[in-house]
Amino acid sequence: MIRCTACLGPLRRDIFNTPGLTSCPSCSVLIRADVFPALVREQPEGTSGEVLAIDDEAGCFFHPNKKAVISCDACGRFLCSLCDVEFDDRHLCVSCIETGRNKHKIKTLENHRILYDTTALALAVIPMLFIWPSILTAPLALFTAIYYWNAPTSIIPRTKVRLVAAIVLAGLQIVGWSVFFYYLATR
Amino acid sequence: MTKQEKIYKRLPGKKKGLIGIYTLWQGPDHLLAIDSKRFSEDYKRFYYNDIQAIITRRTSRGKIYNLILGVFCVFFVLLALPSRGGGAVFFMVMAGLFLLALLVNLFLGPTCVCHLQTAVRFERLPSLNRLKNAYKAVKILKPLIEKAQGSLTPEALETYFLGNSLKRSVGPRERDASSGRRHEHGNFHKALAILLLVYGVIIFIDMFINNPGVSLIMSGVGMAAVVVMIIALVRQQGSDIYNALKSTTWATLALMIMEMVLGYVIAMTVVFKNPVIANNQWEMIKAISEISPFDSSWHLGIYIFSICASFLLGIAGLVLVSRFQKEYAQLNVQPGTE
Repeated sequence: MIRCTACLGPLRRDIFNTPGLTSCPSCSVLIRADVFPALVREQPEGTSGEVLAIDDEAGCFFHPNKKAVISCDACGRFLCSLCDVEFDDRHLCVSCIETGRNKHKIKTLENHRILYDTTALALAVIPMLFIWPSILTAPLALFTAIYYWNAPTSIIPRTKVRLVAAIVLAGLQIVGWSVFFYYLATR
Repeated sequence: MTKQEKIYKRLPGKKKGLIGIYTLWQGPDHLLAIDSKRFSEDYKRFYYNDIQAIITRRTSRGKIYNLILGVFCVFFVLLALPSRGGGAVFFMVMAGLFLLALLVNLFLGPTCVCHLQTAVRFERLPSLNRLKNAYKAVKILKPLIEKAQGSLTPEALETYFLGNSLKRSVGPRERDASSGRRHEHGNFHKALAILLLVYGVIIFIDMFINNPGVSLIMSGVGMAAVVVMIIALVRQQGSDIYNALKSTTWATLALMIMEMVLGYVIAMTVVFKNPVIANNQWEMIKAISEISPFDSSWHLGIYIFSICASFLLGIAGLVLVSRFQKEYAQLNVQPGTE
């Protein structure tokens, strides 16, 4: 059911897929609803797996009394229809999906990433404005930039310009502080 | 270094919040919503095959921004007119900045909220907060979704609606039963409207009687109105109260903020003129109350504006809340009227 997002009242069929905005019949706000066939599609029922009828049939790795219908494309384990997860045009078992998710091997399962390049650049730039904190943060920025050089950044491809800028800026700050302390020591 | 494959294409629209930036990306088989929090990113994927609907609703946020920016622009122009030297330049620059923001907001066009519905999720797409961007994004997404799902035939939609018995029309107050929204009695809105009317009357009295007592009563009523307004704002969230009444409460908030800013400016002006009273609250109240609005044109303008705005919002609020309560009472007397 499609509801008005202001009053939560159900929207009428005649206001679907209109080119412009139409008044909601309940609260009169201007609304446009673009609906697609998934709305009217019947949801497929889940299968619980077929029970093994004879002993020489292959059983599911996770449910030995269920009949195996396919093998996992990653680990090769036999899977029943309950354990088979069709994902990115592959048939995987839940444990391979879990491993892929934890080890960031399946990109489409990632829902969070830390942007080390932005962090390194921020560590190199922001404390520099307050001068003194950069004594500590410049080496930290340099370490972050080098250590996470190959770590994945945003899911949207981006260049390594932030990491390079962080290394350059942090390097300059370290050189600057070294010269300053050398000057203090030899004065 | 191997060049990374570009699988995502940016869709129109971007929302910058205090913490995050929201963007929307078109993928090969899914839509990717990115919530970038400066040092980390959160992703939400919506597969084209699962999208049931994209619902776009126009909002009045853009108009409210225009109103607030316009008021501030006029306010600083009014401050600049009697000023001389650096002060005039500062106020004109401030007015210019607000004018620029107003023009940018006008250029960006009407605001909206966009939601995406799947069989198991109902998500807001914060990046599509301007109508023209939402239209552009839907125009790009529609062929991709239809490629994954096929076209929706009117017959299929008809069958679906018949199955869901949704062919009946929905009346104006019928929405509460169907939507399950909480009923709000509206008493706080009524109290706010009455307080605004009283506030308007006291400002009117204060124009002619320059007495600290009147100023104190005015401040007290203003503070009471603020408290009631906050309660009304909280209570109206997700309630069945009229949208117009909700907007009136928000407009009251804008008025109260403006009143506070103006009050602060006036108090600062008095303190700058008499620095000795800065640490004595009573002397300061006395000095402020002794200022006659007839002494300066912009001060008089502020008084007239406050009186008009208070009466306007008070009367509008009272009419709307009375109509709302009357309608709800009628609905309860005749239950089941559809």
